[in-house]
Amino acid sequence: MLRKLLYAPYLLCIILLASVFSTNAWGQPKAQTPAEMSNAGLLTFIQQNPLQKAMPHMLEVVKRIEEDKEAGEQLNALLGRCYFELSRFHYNQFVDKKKADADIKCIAYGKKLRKRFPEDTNAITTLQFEINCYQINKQWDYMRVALESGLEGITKGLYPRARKSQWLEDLCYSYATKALWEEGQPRFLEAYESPFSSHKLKQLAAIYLIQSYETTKEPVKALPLIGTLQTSKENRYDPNLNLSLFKLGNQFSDEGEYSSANYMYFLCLTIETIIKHNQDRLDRLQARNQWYRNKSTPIPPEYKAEVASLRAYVEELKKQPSYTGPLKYHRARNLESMGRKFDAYFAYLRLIHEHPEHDSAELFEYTAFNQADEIKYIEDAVELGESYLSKEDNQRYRKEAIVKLVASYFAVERYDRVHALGRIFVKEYPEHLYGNNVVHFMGFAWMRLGQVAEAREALGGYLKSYPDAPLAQSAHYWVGLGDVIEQEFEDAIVHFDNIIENYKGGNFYVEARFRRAVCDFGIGNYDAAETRFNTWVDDYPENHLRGEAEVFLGDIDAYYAKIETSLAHYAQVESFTSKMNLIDHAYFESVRLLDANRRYQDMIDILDRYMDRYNETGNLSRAILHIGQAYESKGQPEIMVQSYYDAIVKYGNNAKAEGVDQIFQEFTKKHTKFTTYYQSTIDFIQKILSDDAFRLQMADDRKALHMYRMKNQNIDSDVIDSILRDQTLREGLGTRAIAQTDEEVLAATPVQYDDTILPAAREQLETSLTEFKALLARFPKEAPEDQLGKLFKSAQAQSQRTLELRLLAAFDDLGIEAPGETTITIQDLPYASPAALAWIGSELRKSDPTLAELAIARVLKDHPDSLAMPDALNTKAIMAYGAGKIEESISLLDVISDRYPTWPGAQQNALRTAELYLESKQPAKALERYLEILQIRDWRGKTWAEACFQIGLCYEATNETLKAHGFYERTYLSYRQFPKWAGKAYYRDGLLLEEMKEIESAKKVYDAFLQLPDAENLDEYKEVRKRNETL
Amino acid sequence: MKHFNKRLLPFIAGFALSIGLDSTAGAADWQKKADRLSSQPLSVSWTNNGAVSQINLVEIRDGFLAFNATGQPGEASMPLNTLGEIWFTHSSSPEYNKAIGIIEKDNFNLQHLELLRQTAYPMVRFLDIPQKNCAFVAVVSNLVTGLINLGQLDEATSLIGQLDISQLGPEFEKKAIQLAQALVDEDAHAKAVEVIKQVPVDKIDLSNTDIIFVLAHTLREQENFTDARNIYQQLSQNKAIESKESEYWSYYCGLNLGELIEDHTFDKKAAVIEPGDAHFPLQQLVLGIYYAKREQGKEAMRAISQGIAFATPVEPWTPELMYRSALAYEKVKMTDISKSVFEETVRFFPNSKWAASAQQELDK
Repeated sequence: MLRKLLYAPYLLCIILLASVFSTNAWGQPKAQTPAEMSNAGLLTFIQQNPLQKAMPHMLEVVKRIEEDKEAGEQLNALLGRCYFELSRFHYNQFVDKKKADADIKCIAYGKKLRKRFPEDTNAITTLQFEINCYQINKQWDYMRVALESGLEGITKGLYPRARKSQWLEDLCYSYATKALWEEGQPRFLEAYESPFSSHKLKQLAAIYLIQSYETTKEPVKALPLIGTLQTSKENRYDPNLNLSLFKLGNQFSDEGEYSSANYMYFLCLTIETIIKHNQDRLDRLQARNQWYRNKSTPIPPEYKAEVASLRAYVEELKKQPSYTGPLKYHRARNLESMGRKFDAYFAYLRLIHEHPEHDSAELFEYTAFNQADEIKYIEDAVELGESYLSKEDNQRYRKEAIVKLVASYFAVERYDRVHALGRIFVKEYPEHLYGNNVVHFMGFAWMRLGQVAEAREALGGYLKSYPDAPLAQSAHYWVGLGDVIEQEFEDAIVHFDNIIENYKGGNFYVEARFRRAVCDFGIGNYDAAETRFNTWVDDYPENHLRGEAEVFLGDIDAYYAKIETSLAHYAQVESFTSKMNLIDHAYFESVRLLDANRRYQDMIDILDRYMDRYNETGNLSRAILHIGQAYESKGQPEIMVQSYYDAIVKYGNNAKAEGVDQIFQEFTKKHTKFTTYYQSTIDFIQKILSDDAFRLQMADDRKALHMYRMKNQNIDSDVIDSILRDQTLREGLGTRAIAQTDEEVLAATPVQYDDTILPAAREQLETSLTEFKALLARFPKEAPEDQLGKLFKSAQAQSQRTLELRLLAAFDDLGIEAPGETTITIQDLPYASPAALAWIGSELRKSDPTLAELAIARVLKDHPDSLAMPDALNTKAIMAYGAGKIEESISLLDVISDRYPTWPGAQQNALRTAELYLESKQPAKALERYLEILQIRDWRGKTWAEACFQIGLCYEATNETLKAHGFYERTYLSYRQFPKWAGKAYYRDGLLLEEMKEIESAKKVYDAFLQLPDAENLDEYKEVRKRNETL
Repeated sequence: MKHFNKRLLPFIAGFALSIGLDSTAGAADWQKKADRLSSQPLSVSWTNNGAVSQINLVEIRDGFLAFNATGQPGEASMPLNTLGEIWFTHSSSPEYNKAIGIIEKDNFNLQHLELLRQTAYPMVRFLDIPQKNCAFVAVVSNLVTGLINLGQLDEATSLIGQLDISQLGPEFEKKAIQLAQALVDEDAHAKAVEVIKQVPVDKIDLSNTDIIFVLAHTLREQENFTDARNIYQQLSQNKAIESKESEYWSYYCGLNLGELIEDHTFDKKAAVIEPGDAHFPLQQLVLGIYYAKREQGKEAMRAISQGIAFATPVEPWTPELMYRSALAYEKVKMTDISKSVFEETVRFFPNSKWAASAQQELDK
């Protein structure tokens, strides 16, 4: 724009001048100086020379016309033209040659033109010269005046409207350049709202308005303009705009408008992002120029200029002060206020890492720690808490941080750290109010660890040292609870009474009163307990322990055989607690009471209710089995089996209905048991009725009948017993001597026998047969395996993946081949029940160890309370062992032993742990474990046999030969019924005796080995026989 | 070198000159015209050591430039690599110059384009002449620009198809990519892909990587993950690009094509960009999708939230990152927060496809 007018031909001017002067009467040119020259001379000179040379001559012409008071229209037109030419000439001098004062002269002639001839067609051009000069000189105030006059000219009709958009843009730019946001606001608004504004100008105006409203603290007005940022391209990276966005965010945040604040903070680009954006652009442009260099091709000048300008801009940006730290902090805080806990946490984490030297760094650390705790990123919380406390300068939130970290340690079950940090707190701040919380976690941790003695000692010490400190309250409580656990109720009463008397408004008062009642219950003062519980319930009917109180009250009434009131208390439990152990207790104790009183239908009803309500959280399998038992007790085994099947169908596709996994086995087992029982009995009766020889053998030979029963245990006992004991059957089925007459007796006639079946006996058996057939007919003809197979196909067809996976696990468990091919993938894991996950882990352990690991991890992480935990841990232990991590494997097995002592695999687990110690050359620890096994009487039998033998090995490993011999001896003497272990013990003992030179004894031991049943099938057989022969 | 496809030569001879300006002219019309113009001798001024001569360029044969002097019989030739300081000028009319001046403006029309055709097509087969000896590349480049600007995409595609883009410099690469982008905008993906095949994406000049990314992003946004991934993969092999952006976008496409989900160690392989790096949020988005597809909700939430902490509003992955953040909040039952994040996705990125998806969630 600036340069477009530079090369306008000046010939036009000369021609015009010539025409005017030629008709003028001013005479001929006759002198050298312009003043002396005639008009014609001036004209000729100007015509023949460039304007630069002819400047004095044109000025002379201007002077003459200006002085001519009577100058007419033509001369005035000439004067106007001269003004314009002079203005343009100086403008070109200014732009091209940077000549001093040329701008002033350009502007002056332009002003003369516009003043004298405002409607001259060149007036607008001179105004544009003026505007351009001011712009080049950065004389923004003057530029604005010129632009305003231009806009006014448009309003007056002097200048065309087409110029308005550009002038308005320049005007807005001039305000923006000087950051006159408030003053420029009307013009920005006009530019934004005008229908004649170009898209570009509207964009620019919106950006200026955003900054303007930030200055005038009218953030709400800025909101509708924010959308334009989406398409504002390079303007988006204006650092001033982004700083304004940040400030607008603060303004919204101060007003509690967090969402709008977040909008602004989020949209605000950091100065680093802006620099990077421009640097990337610069890199790209430089790369483009490099291509030309590589090709020895001249770089287009505009490319060069673009690079130079951008490089300078980037350098300038780098000098800008950064608002990044404050922006991130405000944003994090705002996210926190909005409840975006996850986002806020990571925002604070970012602050910690990127701005460790920030004035508020301590606050960032503490807040991130808090946030991590809130979103249950406990491992993160622990790390952050530890990091916070590790810095000596961090003192402002130290007490709070310790308390929180203690709680976090507790949550991740790092009880050693709970105690260590708790001790530090008590040492540093023994009298502080938070001591109550810290000691609470310490006490709780000790109870979790079962370290009652440690709790009593440490907390008792605190009570002595700080009897009146806030911590005393929780110390009393936990010492009292420890006493309850140890069943030392009298001691506990002292502590609970202390709380009841001294801390009426305290945290532990209500619970202490409750525990006080528990103590009475524990001592056996049921009446006192009942009174205390009832009073407590009256006082605290909504307390979280109310459910537990109802359990105790139910138990007390059950003890006194007050069935109905006991059931009523149990029925209330679920209204006051969500703790499943209490709810389970209430339901299953109710079931037990009803079962004992043969109220089977009530029992079924209550269990149905339980399953409806707690199929995902309760012990579903136990309830289903109880229902089955109730039907069985009612003499309806077919309904029992059907109820199992129904439960599988109803809950099988619900991954959270955990108990159903156990029912598959029971369904098959019971179905098979009963149908086999019925069929065997039917077969037996039919054989009795149809096979005379068999009947006579069974009826006449008690031993034969007994042996038959031994071999066919599925036959109904009553039927067999009746053959043995029922007179009608005994007589009717067996051989009967035919009564002789006296004469026959006297004549010693041989006795005749009747071996036919008597009608009464036949009738009785046929009645039984009919009954059993009827019972069998009630069961579906289809085998349970087939029923499950059909269910599997139906599950596949209906995309019931959870049920499908469960059935796969069940088929595997039952040793049945699955009816169809199924590939298990990662996407199945969310659909798998915990038991199915554990099965997947075990099943894919070798073929797809990573998926197996993920399945196991899912059980451990997402279902820590599930019944599948021990199986999952066991598989994990096996995998750890496979990876050579014996210590990890042992520790996992220990977790199983500690937490799941009643797990069916517990015995094998204990043996395996000891075996791993032995394998890792730690015989002392192995020995300890084996000896522990011998303490558990329920594990007598094979497990003890193995343990005894292994103890012998351990002693051998530690060269305690006699002890080893003793345990080998104990093994083969006590557990001869387990030839595997007896054999091993004989063999090892034989070797031991050989070493001890007790050759005869060794030989005897080997002899004994060889006399074991199936000795030849034992691993050591060949070796023992060889040694025996050698000896 | 294939600045001009010689196989077309038999078809382009013998057509009469016609400057028909019918905008409804079919494909065959522009093709015929282009072929005819392309076969014409090119009249140029030859400036050598200040002396100006008028010659007609005939063709380039085996590295030699064949020409004849105006008004004189016979033909001479000279090796292309011996042109030295010679500068070939093709005189252009004021109308042509005016057309070039307004080529990016709304008033550029078919008449202007016709002028560009007349000037540029005869130069096409002489683009092997080094750029230090002539400005033919710029002229042909302008024709491509004009064709794209007026939506003559088939013709532009045909023209680009005759050129060896890799030898014509970054501006021509840019034109080819812009053409591909225009074709994608018209949903002509297959044609766009063909154009892009001509661009050496794995070696493309750094100055054009941003627009090739835009093209790949467009394909990706339109869920053409296969073609988008091909471009990303080529970009990831481009040594001029130091960032891992293309690599992560190709992972992204793979995940959306149902791949990588069963790769249990993908997350370990992919999580290599450190927080603070510009592409960290993209990595987190990729990981978030991976975990979400594997139904690993907690891991997805962590990945996405970490990405959000580092996201900026101007990056192409940010709208989806926000959308997925809302989904993650929904997954952890923080429904109010989820709703507000969906609302913000709509508010912050109204033109994004993720805003539409978020709105759908809000409308449920």
